[in-house]
Amino acid sequence: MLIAVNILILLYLVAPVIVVVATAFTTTAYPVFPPQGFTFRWFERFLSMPEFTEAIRRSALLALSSTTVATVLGTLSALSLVRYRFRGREAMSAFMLSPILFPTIVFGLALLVFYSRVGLSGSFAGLVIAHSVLTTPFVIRLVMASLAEFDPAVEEASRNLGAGWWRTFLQVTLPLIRPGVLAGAVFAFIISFDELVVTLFLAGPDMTTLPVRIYTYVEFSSDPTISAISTVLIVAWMLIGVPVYARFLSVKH
Amino acid sequence: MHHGRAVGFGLELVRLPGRDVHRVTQGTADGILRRRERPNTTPYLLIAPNLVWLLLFMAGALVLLAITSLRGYEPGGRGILETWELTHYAQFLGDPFFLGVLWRSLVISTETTIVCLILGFPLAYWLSQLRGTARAVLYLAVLIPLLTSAVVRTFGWMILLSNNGFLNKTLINLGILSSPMRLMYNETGIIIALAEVLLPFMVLALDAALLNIDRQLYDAARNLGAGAVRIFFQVTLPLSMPGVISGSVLVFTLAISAYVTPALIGGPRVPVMSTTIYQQGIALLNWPFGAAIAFVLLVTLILLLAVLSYVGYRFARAA
Amino acid sequence: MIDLELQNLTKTYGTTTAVDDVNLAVEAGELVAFLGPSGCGKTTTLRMVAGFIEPTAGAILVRGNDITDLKPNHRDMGMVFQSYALFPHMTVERNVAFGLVARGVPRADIAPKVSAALDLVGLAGFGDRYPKQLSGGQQQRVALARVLALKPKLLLFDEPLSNLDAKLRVQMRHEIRELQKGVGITSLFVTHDQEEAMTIADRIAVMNNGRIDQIGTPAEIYDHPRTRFVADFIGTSNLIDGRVAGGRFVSKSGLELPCGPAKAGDGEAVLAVRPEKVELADAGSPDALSGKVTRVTKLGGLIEYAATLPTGEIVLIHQQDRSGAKTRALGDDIAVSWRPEDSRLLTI
Ligand SMILES: Nc1ncnc2c1ncn2[C@@H]1O[C@H](COP(=O)(O)OP(=O)(O)OP(=O)(O)O)[C@@H](O)[C@H]1O
Ligand SMILES: [Mg+2]
Repeated sequence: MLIAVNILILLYLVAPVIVVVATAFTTTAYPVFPPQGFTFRWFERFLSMPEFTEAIRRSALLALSSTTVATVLGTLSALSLVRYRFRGREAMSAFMLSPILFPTIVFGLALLVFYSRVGLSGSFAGLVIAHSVLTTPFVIRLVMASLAEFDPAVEEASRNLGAGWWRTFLQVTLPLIRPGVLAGAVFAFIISFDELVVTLFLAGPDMTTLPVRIYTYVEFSSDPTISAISTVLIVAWMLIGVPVYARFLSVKH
Repeated sequence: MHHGRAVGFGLELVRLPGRDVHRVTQGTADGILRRRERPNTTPYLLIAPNLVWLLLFMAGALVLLAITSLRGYEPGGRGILETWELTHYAQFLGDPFFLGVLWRSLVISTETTIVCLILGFPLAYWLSQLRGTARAVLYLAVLIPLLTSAVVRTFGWMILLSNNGFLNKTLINLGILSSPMRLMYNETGIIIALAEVLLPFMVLALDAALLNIDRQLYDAARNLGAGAVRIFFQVTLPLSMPGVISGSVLVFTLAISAYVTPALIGGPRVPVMSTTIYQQGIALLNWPFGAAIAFVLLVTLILLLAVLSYVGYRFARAA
Repeated sequence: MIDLELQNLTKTYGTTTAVDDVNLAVEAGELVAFLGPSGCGKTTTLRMVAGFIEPTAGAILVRGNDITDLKPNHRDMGMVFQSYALFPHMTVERNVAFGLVARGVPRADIAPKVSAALDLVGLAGFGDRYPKQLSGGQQQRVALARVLALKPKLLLFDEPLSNLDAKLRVQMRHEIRELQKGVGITSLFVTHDQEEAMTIADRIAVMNNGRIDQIGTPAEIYDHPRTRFVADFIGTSNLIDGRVAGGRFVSKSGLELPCGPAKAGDGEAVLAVRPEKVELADAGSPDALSGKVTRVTKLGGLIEYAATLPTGEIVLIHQQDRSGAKTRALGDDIAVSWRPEDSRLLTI
C-alpha cells in the first residue's frame, strides 16, 4: 500500500522529466506526449541554431567563472567557520549561508538597481558576481561538511612538524577536503548554469544565457527543439551531478 | 621591567631588555605579568573576501533597493526622483488588486507547501526505511528532478497540462472527464507544477529528520506493545517535526519567490508577487514601486518565518 | 641545564581558569609527566607549550629563550597526539619525511633520515603503507618516528597510549621510555593513568584544578605527598581530618592518633597513612586502636580490610595474601596501629 502510493508520488515527481525527454524525439511539429515516431531532427535543429549554441558557450563561461570565484570564497569561509572559534562566528555563518534562502526575485531587482549605479549594468562581470553570491553558500556547506569529518589534530601535527599555514593548507587540509571542494564546485557550476531569475534581471540583450534563451523561447512558442536542448542538459547534469551527489550526500547511510 | 608607554586600558607596551620580543603586559595586583592575547586574525582574514562580497553585492544592493523604494517616481518623464516618500507602499497596500496579488502568492505558497508535505512524507518515510542499494536508487530518483532546471521541468508541465495535453486526454479517455479541464493559466496548474519542482527539497529535509530518530526507540515502542499506527503518530511524527518545519520553511520560501513556474504556467492572467516585481522592474521600469513590492514580500516572509520558527521552538521545547 | 621553563603560565577561558599560574623547570633529557584528573588542565598546558593555545599570562622558555610568542611551526617541538594525527593521504614514508621537507632538509638527506627513524621504532619496510593499513600501535610508532626524525628540542606527548589496548599500552610505555632515554630529548608526557606516569617519568607533576600541586620523582610523590589531593589521587590513602595542637594530632571525633612531626604549626590538618603501612593485630594489643572489621575485599594479591573505630573513623588496611598469614573475618574485633614516621600530616 505504502509502496503503491509512493510509486505514484515518484511518477508525479519524474513526470515532467520523462515528458521532456520523450518529446525530444517526436516527429510532430509541436511537443506531444506520448511522442509519435522517432527522430533526431530536433537535436540537429538546435545544434544548427547559433542563438542556442552561442548561449551554451556563454552559460558555460559564466558558470565556470562564477564557480571559480564561489569555490575560492566558499572554501576560505568554510575553513574559517569550522576551524576557528571567534566572536560573531554564529552570526557570520548564518549571514554567509543566507543567499540560499534569500528570494532570488528580490536579489535580482536589487542588483539591477545597484548595477545601474556602479556601472555594471548588462555586463558579464555583473553576472559572474551575482552567480557567485548565489552559489558560494553551497560550496561553504559542502566544504564545512568535509572539514568536520577530519581530525583537526592532523593540521596541528603539520604545524608542529614545522609547516607554515600555507604549506599546511596546501599539503594537508586541501587534499583532505578535496571531495567536498569538488562537490561544491560541481553544485555551483550546475546552479549557475541553470540560473534564470537573477540573470533575467541582469543580462543585457547580448548577454543571453541558455536558460534565458529557453525561457523566452518557451514563453512565445513551443516546439520540440526545447525538449532536445533540455534532454541534453538533463543527461549532462545526471552524468556530472549524480556521482558527486551519490558520493557526498548520505545516499546509502 | 615595567617601564614603558601606556597604550590605554591599563595596558603597557614593554620591551624586555636583552630579548627581541615585544610583549604587551598589564601589571596585576599579584605582580604577575599579564600578556594581552593577540586576537587571532586568521579567521577574519579567511572570511574577509566573502564578507566584502556579500556586504557589497547583497547587503549593499538591498540597502540601495530599500532607499529606492522610498523614492518618488514619475512615469515617462523624469523617472526616479530625489524625494523621500511612502507613496509606493501606500499604493500597494491601498489597492485591492495588489493586495489580491499578495494574498494569491500566500495562498499558492501555502497550498504548495501542504501538497509537498502530504506527498513528501510517505516518500521520505520509505526512503528512511531503506538501506543500501535500494536507498541509493530511490535517493537518486528524488535527486534527478533536482538536477533538472526549473525551466525545463515547467516546460514539461506545460506539455502535460495543456487543454489537449496528456493529462486531459488520459482523464477523458478514462471517462473521468467529459471535456478538457483547464489546468494552464490558473492557480491549480501553478500548484501542480510548483509542488513537483519543490518536492525534492521537502523529501530531503524530512529524510534527514527521520534518519535522526534513534531506531532503538521503535524497538522500545514495539516492546512496550505499541502498534504500527500508534508508533507512527506517537513516535515518528513528533520526532520528525524538525524536518517538517525546516522542509516547510524551505519550500514556502522558495515557492513565494518562485518566478519561472508562475510566469509560464500562470501567465499574465494569474499575477503573483514575483511576476509583479519582475513586471514593474523590467517591463514598466518603475523601480521604486518594484522595490516597494519586493520589501512587502520580504517583510511578509520574515514575519511568517519568525512565527514558524517560534512555533518550531515551542515544539522542540515540548518534545 | 634547564631545557624548558614555564613561568607563571596561566590560561583563562572567560571565567574558568584552565591553567593557573604554573611554574616548572625541566632538566635537559628529563621526562616529566603531567598527571591529574580529567579537566585539570594537562592538555591545555601542553598545547600552550606546543604553541596551539596562547597563554593568558606567563612565559615559556626553551633553553633560556622566550618562545611564548613563537608560531607552532617555529618551535622545533615534536608532538605525539592521542589520535596519532597521521596524514591519511600520505604513505608512512611521506608522513615521516613531511617535517624534514618543511624544514628544507636537502633532498638527498631525507631518505636516510626517514629510514633511520623507521628503524628506530621497528617499522623498517612499512614505508609504502598508508596509515589506515596499520594497526593502532603501528600508527603510534609512525607518529613517534615522524617527530624523532626531526631531532626536536622537546618531545610532547598528549595521552599517546590511551587509544591502545591494555597489553600494548604497557609494552609501548616501556618502548617510549627507552627511545626517549636513547635520544635524550627532554619530554613532557600528559596522562591520567598513574601507573603509566610512575613507570615512564623521571618526575611527575600532579595537577589539580589548573595548578601543579606537587612535583617530584614517582617515589617522592607516593611516599611524601604534600597535599591532601596528591595523597588521595595517587594510590590509596587513609585520610583523617583533625587538628594539630602541640605536636599531637587529634581527629575530629577527639581521638589522638600517632603522627610524624608536624611541619606547619598548630591548626587544622589531615593525617594520611597508606593502607599497607597499617598493622593489623588482635584486639587488645598495646599501643593500638581497637576496632571492628566491617568489610573484607580481595584485590589480587592483597586483602583489603576496612576497620571501623569506635569513634566512627574507617581505616583501610592492605595485607599481603600469603599462605599462613592470619586472615580476619567480618565482625572480628581487631586493633590497628602504624609507626608515626609512616604517617604524614598534610595541610588541607
Ligand atoms: N576552548 C575552551 N574553552 C573553554 N574552556 C576550555 C577550553 N579548553 C579547555 N577548557 C577547560 O579547561 C579545563 C582544562 O582542560 P584540559 O583539556 O586541559 O584538561 P585535561 O587535563 O587535558 O583533561 P583530560 O584528562 O580530560 O584530557 C577544563 O575545565 C576545560 O573544560
Ligand atoms: Mg586532555
